[in-house]
Amino acid sequence: MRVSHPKDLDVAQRISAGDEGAAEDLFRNLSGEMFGFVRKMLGGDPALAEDVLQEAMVGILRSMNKFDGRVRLRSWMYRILRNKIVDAQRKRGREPVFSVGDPEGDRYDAHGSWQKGVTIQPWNENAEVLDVVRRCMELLPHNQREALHLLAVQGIPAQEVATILEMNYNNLRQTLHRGRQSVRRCADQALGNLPEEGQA
Amino acid sequence: MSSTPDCPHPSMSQMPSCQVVSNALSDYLEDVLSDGDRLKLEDHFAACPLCLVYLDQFRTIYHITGEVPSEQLPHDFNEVMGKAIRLWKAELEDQD
Ligand SMILES: [Zn+2]
Repeated sequence: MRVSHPKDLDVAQRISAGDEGAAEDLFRNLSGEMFGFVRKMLGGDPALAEDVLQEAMVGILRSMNKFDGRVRLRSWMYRILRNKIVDAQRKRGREPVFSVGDPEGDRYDAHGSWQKGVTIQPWNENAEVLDVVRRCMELLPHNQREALHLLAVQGIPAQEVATILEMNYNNLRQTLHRGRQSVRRCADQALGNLPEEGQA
Repeated sequence: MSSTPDCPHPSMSQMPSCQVVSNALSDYLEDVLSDGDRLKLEDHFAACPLCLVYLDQFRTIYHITGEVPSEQLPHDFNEVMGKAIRLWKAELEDQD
C-alpha cells in the first residue's frame, strides 16, 4: 500500500495510541473551517452545528486507527463530518434536494442562443455582491452547495472532494459548474438586472 | 431563424452557441480547454455582448464561491472538544 501522506499517518498513529495533545492540536487547527462547513450545510442553528461537530470529532477519534495515509487526513476527516451532516439532516426530516439540470436552460432558444428579451447587464460596482453570493449559496440544492463549500476548504484538492462526496471527478466538475451558474443567476436577480421573465 | 440580434447565430458560423459557451465557462476559467475550443469561445465573446457580460459575472462568482468559509468557533468550543476527547478516552480505557 502506498502511503502518500506520511506526516498525516504519523499524527493519526499518535492519536490512535491515545495522545490527547495530538488530538487537541489537530482539532484546534481544523475546527474553525469544519464548524464553518457544518454551519453552512445545516443553516442557522448553532446548537445543532455544535452537536454535529462534536459527534464528528468522536467519530474521527474512534476510527483514527483505520486511517491509512492514502488521502490527506483533512479529506478523511471531512468525509466523516460530511456523513454526520447528512445524518443530522435526515433526523431533522429534511431530505437533501439534488439538482443536475442547466439552471439557465429556460432562457435559450431552440438553437442555444439567449432568447429575445434576455438581458445581462454588468453589476453595479458598489453592489454588495459578496453578501448576495453568500445568501444565494444558501439557496442552492444540497449537492451543489456541499461541493462548492468543500472545494473552498483549503488543502482539499478537487480529486479528494470527489472522493469525499463519493462521485466521479467529472460529475463533481459538472455539479460545481451548475452551482456557480445557479449562484450567478440568483445574484443577477438580487442585483436587479433581470427583467420579468416571459416578456420576449 | 431569429435569435437575439446581438449574438451570432450558431448555425450561421462555426461558433458554439451561447448555451455551449455558458456550460464551458468553468473549464475556460480553469484553462483546461484545448487551444481550439478556447479560441472558439473567445471568438464568441468578441461577437456576443451578452456572453461577455455573463463571463464577467461568472468569473466574479467563481472566485467568491471559492473563498475559504471562515466561521468563528463557538465560545464554548473547548467544552465541545473536551467532551469529545473524554468520550473517546473513556472508550479506549474500557477496551484495555
Ligand atoms: Zn453568446
